[in-house]
Amino acid sequence: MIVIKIALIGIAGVVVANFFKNVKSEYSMLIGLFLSVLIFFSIIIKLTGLLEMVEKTESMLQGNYRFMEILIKMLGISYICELSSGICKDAGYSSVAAQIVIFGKITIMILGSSILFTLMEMIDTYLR
Amino acid sequence: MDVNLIFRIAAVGILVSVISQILKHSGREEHAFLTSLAGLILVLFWIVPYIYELFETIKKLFSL
Repeated sequence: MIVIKIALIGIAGVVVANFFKNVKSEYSMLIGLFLSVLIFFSIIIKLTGLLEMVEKTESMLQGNYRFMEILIKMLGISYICELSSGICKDAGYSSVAAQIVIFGKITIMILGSSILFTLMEMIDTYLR
Repeated sequence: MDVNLIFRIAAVGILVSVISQILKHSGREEHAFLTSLAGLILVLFWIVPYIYELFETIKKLFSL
């Protein structure tokens, strides 16, 4: 039910923002910015339930909870980078958006490298 | 965090563009610029707390 509400809010906001495209372009960008923040905020609030579930599964992982935390961190980083690059692209600055996307990818790669390293260690201990 | 903020921003936008048109045609170019600047800053004042709140939630949620 919430999906329909969000979709309608998005369409209504875009129509209003489009009205300002030729009259005053900075307002169309501001309305677009607020729209994506509003929709983003409404879905983030629903995500807290999911994260409680992840905390509950921590007991099954016996100790390497660190990987779950890194995965959740990656999720957060990709969320923020997606939001900000979309807003920059809307405002017309696609090069800035590309920079943000590349920055997000590199941060996630750095985060993932520790997992890769522990995997390599595990393989090394087995092979020896 | 609701929809009528969008329409408030739209109202400010329409008002500012009307006022700046009037000021422009009555020869006061710099006043028109100042009015649009004021409208822009007012809208930013409304939006920035919401963006800050969003980033705080994400930071708290994903333990970034």
